Amino acid sequence: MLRKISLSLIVLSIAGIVSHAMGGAIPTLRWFFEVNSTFGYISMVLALVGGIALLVSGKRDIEWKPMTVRKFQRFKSMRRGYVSFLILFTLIVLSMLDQTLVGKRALFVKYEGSWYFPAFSQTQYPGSTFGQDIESEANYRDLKLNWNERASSNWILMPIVPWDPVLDSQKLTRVDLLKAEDDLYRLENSSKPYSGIAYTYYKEKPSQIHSMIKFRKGKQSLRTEGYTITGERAVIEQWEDGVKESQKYYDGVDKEAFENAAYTPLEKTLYPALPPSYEHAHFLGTNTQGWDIVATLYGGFQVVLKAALIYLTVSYAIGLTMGCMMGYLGGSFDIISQRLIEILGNIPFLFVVMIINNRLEPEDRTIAVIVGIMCIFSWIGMTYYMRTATYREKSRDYVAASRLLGATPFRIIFMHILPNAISTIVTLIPFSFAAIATSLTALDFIGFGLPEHYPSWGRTLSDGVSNLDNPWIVSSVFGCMVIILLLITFIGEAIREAFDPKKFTFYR
Amino acid sequence: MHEKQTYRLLVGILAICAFVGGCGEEEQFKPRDNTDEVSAFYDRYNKKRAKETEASIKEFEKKLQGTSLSALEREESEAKLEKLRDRASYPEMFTFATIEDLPRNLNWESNGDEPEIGSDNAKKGGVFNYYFEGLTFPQTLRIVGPKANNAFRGDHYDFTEMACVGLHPNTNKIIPGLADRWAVAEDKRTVFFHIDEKAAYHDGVAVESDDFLMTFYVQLCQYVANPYGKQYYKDQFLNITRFDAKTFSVTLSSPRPLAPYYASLTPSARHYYKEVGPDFEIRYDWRIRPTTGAYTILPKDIVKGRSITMTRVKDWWAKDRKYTKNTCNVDKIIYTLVRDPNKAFEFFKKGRIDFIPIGRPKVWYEKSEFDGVFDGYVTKTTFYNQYPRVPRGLFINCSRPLLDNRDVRIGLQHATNFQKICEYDFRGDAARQNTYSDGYGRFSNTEIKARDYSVAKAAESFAKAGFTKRDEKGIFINDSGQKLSFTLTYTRSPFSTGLMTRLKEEAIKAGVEYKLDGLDGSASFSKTQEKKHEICFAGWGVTPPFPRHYQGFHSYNAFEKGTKRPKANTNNISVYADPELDVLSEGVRHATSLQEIEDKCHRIEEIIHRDAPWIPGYYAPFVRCGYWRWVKWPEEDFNVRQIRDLYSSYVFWIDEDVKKETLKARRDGKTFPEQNLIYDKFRDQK
Repeated sequence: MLRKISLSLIVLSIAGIVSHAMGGAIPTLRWFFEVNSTFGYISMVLALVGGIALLVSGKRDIEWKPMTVRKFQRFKSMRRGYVSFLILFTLIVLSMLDQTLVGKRALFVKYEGSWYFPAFSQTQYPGSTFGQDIESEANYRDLKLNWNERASSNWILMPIVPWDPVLDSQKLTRVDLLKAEDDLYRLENSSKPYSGIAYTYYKEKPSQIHSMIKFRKGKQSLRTEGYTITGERAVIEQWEDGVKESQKYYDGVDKEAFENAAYTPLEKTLYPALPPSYEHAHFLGTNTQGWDIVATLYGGFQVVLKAALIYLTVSYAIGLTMGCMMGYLGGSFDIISQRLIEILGNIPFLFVVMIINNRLEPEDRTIAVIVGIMCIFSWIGMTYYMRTATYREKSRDYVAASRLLGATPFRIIFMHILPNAISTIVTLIPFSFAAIATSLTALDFIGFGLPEHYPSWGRTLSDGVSNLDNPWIVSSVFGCMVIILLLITFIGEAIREAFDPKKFTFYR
Repeated sequence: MHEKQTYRLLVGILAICAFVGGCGEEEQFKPRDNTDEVSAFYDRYNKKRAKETEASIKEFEKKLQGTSLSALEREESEAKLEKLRDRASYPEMFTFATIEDLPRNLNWESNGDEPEIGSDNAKKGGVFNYYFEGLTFPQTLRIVGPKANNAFRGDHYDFTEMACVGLHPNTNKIIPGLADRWAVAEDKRTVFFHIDEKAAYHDGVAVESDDFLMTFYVQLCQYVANPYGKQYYKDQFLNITRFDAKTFSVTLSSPRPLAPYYASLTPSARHYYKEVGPDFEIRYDWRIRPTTGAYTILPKDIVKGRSITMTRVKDWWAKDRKYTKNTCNVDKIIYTLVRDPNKAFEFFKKGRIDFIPIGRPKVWYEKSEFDGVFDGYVTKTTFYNQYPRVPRGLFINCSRPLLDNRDVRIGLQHATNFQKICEYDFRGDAARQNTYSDGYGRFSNTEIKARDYSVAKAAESFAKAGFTKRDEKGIFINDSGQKLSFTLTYTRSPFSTGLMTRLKEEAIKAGVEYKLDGLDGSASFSKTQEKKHEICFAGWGVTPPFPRHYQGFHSYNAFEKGTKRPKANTNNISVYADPELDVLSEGVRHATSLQEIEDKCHRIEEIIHRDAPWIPGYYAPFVRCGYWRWVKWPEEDFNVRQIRDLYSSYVFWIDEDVKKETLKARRDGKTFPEQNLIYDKFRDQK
């Protein structure tokens, strides 16, 4: 086990370093380099050193204490918790596949005999590389459509969800309006007579509207407006139940040219939010911004994981250290720290985050900073448990013994007391995970969270709540949150049950 | 511990007392009479101003004698001195003359030739149910002082109160208001008004010349905290002279076209303001103001936290006057508090609100397609208005590094895709703004078209500024490693955030990074006022009749004098200065003919287009609304040409018979033909 970990650490870190140096981007590992490349290289080198150290130490496996092994077994035997754990683990692994699953850049492109890997490359290929008529980055979704239509020999493979989580809006799509045998107009693939607006466009200038026609219950009704090819109004007609009641041409309009112009069939433009559709590759639809919801949820989950990583590390490191020190050192250190905690504990945390967030310059508003602010307050909860546990452990004989042997307080706290007091903390981890997920969502929901270029559950939720007539937005994000939080809660309950000290010890 | 609890209890009781007390009867104030104080004030103010002006003149004269001044400073000081001397030629602000002093050769006008406003078919009566558009209950009914400039002030004061003269909303000509005739003196800045003999407040007290002097007192006296108003009344007016109870004159600080309109004042009833004193703010918070307009508020109709009702004045003095007889038709206008726009729309669907303005395309095309519309109970109307378009867009702080380069700014104009916002977010309803002053009729320069979104043109312009390479995110960098990455400050709301992310998404394609900095209203306002922003998204509230470029682009408002330090608290948020534009924008302020204003405004827009200190955004060329079918509007035009809030012209009326018919039909399940109307008489042909 330990050997496998150390080997994979070595392989991954070398892969990270080499790929970045060669201009590549490996899923998940690229995150470290996205902070900045120095940070990326430092983390990779640290991982490499850690891996080598583990390998050199010669241990093949972690030697768990029998008690811990029994705890693991108990956890495994609780089906609900264990299955939840497996599901969550799978989700985490999936989320680490990153741009392989979700993203707007193609995985492979074969164009005129050459191979390209846009998703795994740091450089962007301009559209001209693949014969697209755009100066900016190539649009791979368009490429795919185009090549499929022309049955071209070029070949492209897109991720399953071909959308970026943010800043990647759908193109406005048009749906044909068809006249059925009963003389009623219906949208393609719909059985309901159409009520709403539809347009025809000039064939020679597809962006220019030819006519704007209103329908009621499948019949042309109300006002129809026609436009010339230069965009000026040409004609106004009044319709009632499919019958033309009046028509008025504007002065100076070339009637012949307008009537004889070639125009497209009637179409309805679909504006975001789009309902879920397999055809457009929006499996859960889009939000009102035109961004794909699956991609946003996926990206949001990644953000939560990143945030949890920072949050758990920082707040547990501070919390454990402070708690143990307060319990072990006691006296004035304890008293002063307790007062500090009381002060911190009475500051309304949400307001402080909001105020600080509003004061930050936009480039400082990053996930590390926001989560860091949360960490200022979050370590407090841990200290209560650790302080009492340390007080209790401190009076045990083994602590006295190691003191007699001359161990330093540092050694005693971290080598002897902490492992014995840790079980309470382990049970807290899943709940802390849930806490960071919900607070991040809540902050985004009220608009004081992460900036817009981070995908966010909270913003999607708020978008959904204010647009309840697009129910797929709110239901997707709500469902997603419920599932994740339920999984975490089940795992947390199982861990608490498995680590319950009462099962294995009893006091006299 | 025990002490603490007692303390808490005490505070609690106090809080409850304060709450209960606040809910009860209005507080009684000791009567006060400031008549003597006011006349002493006029006298004192005259002396004070004369003294101050004299002192300033001396100061400038001394300054100009010195040799340390640069040419620019000298020129500026001389201009100021000239203004001060002009001011000194009017030793008094408040003059009390007799009718014999009135110049004899005045050319009195009383323009009665403009078309009537509203429809002859309008029926009087009925109740108009509406809501507070600001979604909050007003904090006060005062019209001056702190919090007075709230969202409700327009409804109970600006839209209804009458001034000496007004502008005809269709023809833009001056029409009589409280004054039945007026005359402009030869200096083109002194205007004589004669008040209509019938003009009276709703409580029957006649309007007199002294009430207009009182307006100055209310604005300028020490008891009213009102810095902007104080500055305005001090700077804009040189003199007000009372000739008799019905005749007075106002002198503006400089001659200008439409002088009567600019000199037109609203009166302040002396019998109402006679209690102005140190407790002005509390005393006048909820006190009903005598009004010359058609609507007043009865004391019983202020239901705090719930609603305010405006009642039509029974014997309104102007009810038979040509320009007002067909307006203000409904008997009561009820404003109800609704705190959420979605809820307001639900109220409208239920018929608890009679009328609702609809702006957002999503509401217009999706939410407002409900059965009430299909069944013909509710009418949807689009009205093409002509009103100065809010100059809305991205203002570029030209004092910042990189942004001080014109090529970069022009590149940014090409990299900012407002066109997509119009087509995508506004579904083609909004139009691209082309100049800073669109919608001013002849004063707008229609030759200029805003630069379009184009990745190629942007790249070309950036290349001129030395940005030729793109980094791994596709953002342009130059040889010294500087990135085209700018902070974009804006006031945060779900809608504005959506628009800004759209700009960001599109700008990345063109190699520009916008770092979004969404702040709450006051924070983003102060950031831009302190000129600490790089680029900001903003729009200015503008009013007819002329464009104003002085505030927004004059060098006086850009930099602290003689330095390159941006000047705080001015409206030149582009921190932009151009010598030619300086001369032109001052020229517009002091122009004496419309042609002069037109020529100068057109040239100013050319300069702005050349230097690109802002990126023009979008505007809606129309206003839309929904209303129940018993709300009637003038058949032919629907509304007046120059209007922003459709109901604020008060040309609508309630047809009680139609209301009964509609409600009965709704109960019986009977329907009417759907009404989906477009009034495009005032639409620009396009």
